[in-house]
Amino acid sequence: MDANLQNMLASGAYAEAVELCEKLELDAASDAGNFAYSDVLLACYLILNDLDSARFLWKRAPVTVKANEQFKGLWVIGANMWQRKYAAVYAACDAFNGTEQQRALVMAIAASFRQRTITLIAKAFSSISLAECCELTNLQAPDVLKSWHPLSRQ
Amino acid sequence: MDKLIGAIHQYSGTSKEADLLLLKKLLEEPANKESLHKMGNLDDAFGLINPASHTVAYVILLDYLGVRSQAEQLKFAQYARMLVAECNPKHLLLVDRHYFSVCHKFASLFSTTAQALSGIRLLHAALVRFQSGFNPVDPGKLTPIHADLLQLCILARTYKFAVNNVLNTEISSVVDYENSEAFLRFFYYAGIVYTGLRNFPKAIANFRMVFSVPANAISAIALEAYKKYLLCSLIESGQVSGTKVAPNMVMRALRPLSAVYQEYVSVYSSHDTDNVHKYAMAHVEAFKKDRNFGLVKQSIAALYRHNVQRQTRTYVTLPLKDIADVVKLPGASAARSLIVRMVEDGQVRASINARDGMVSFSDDAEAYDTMASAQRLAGRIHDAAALDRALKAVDRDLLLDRRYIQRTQLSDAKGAAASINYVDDDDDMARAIALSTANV
Repeated sequence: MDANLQNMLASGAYAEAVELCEKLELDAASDAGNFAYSDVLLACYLILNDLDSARFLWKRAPVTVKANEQFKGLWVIGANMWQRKYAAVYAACDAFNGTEQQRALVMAIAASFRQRTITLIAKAFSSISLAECCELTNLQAPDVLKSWHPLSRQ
Repeated sequence: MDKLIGAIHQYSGTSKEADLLLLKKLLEEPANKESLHKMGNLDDAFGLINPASHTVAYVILLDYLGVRSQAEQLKFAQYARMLVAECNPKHLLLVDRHYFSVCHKFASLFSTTAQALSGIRLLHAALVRFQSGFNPVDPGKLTPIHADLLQLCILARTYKFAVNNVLNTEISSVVDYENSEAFLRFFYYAGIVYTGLRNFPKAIANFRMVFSVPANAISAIALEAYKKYLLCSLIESGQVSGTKVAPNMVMRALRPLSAVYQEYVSVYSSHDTDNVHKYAMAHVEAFKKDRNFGLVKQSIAALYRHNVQRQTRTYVTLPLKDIADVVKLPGASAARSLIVRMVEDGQVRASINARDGMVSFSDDAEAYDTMASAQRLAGRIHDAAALDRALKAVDRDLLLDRRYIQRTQLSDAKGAAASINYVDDDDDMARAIALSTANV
């Protein structure tokens, strides 16, 4: 893998990774080469919650890439995010099978999705059942209570 | 044939504008054009010239090159790449129509979804190259290449690239080109890009441009833009407005041609989702034929949101069940999911009490006293001032335009009652009269 890209992913600089991948994709297309990082790009879009870009990446991916199991697996996660099927997102993340690098990215997707969901719950609900919270964030009850503390509302 | 090559070398060598224009005329002559079209001649010609020193000839020859067979297409693409990489931008301006035609031909070669991505870089480079020939460089000048580039971006689904590289500059002028179709296409494609990114205010503005430009006849582009404009307006605000700026003649022609959509707008204004559903399904074929059914579905989803927002204007607290009933959602949990979604998208400020099944709506808590709002305000004032300056500049140019002065002087001579009261500045008037009488 491209050394720069590797470093960006390792340090969590997903926005820069997206920029680099987009540039590489156009380069590969212009020079009739192969773009090898479709899965990385899709995963980064999902981490950054850029669902529109993820959707378009899926639409423009060539047939060979779409047939790839990991790419399809990532897209299943993305589709669930798009439809706001909260529990299904975590289920799809758990069910994902791929290389170590890909699994690390998928864990990052789940983590960022969980964080955004927690923020949303804090914003939208004045009271919500613990069971429901566990379902939406895929955490066990004590973890839910722990993550709530930093978000104490006025 | 050899004579032509000789002429190319001779005239290009001097790089004086007069010589280049002579060369251009020579190459455009029908007899020469035909002899160039004869098989094999063009290939030979390309072998003898290069894009850097013979830009004018290269562009014209490339315009003449046929692209019927696969082999010809490959050659065309290859020559086009060399042209963009090495041409002299200043000379491009002399053969701009040929250059636009070359770019258009290039775009049409790559206009299948699978191939579009490969053409984007080159076409973008072609555009940048053309723009660099102007002095001063004006990135806000609209050219036909913009439309072709947007078309490729849409086909390749690289909407982000389109926004970051083509649509990020405000269009401030238009290149001199008599075919208006390219410009209409630009705004139509821009609207489509923004619709894809669900930035409906910008989509609406671009679609409106297509049918609002002064026109003596309507075009299919204007009609499609109008239909999408109606649907995007419904999605964004639930109503349609702002068509007053369009020329009367265009609106009169557009209305009967888009009757299905007009009726949909009036059904929509009843805010009744059942009726809207019924109408949409009754006319699904018509919507699908125009490939607008996706937008129709989005507008129905938006209607639920608009209805919820109307509730927030009347009530401070409401049970989820009541919201579901009024807005005609399947149940309290559907209402809850919708409101959570709306809170996420920033369309409503609400707080759900899951235990009691109640929602409380709150007003906009924005106090506009943060650094961020101050900066936003400053930015808007800055933009408004820049717009004002641009308008004043256009106004000044118009006042000093010969044709304008002649027309107004003529109407004055005919004893028109109104004095020329749109000129505030006496200096301007004096200068204008001096210019027009000085036989410039």
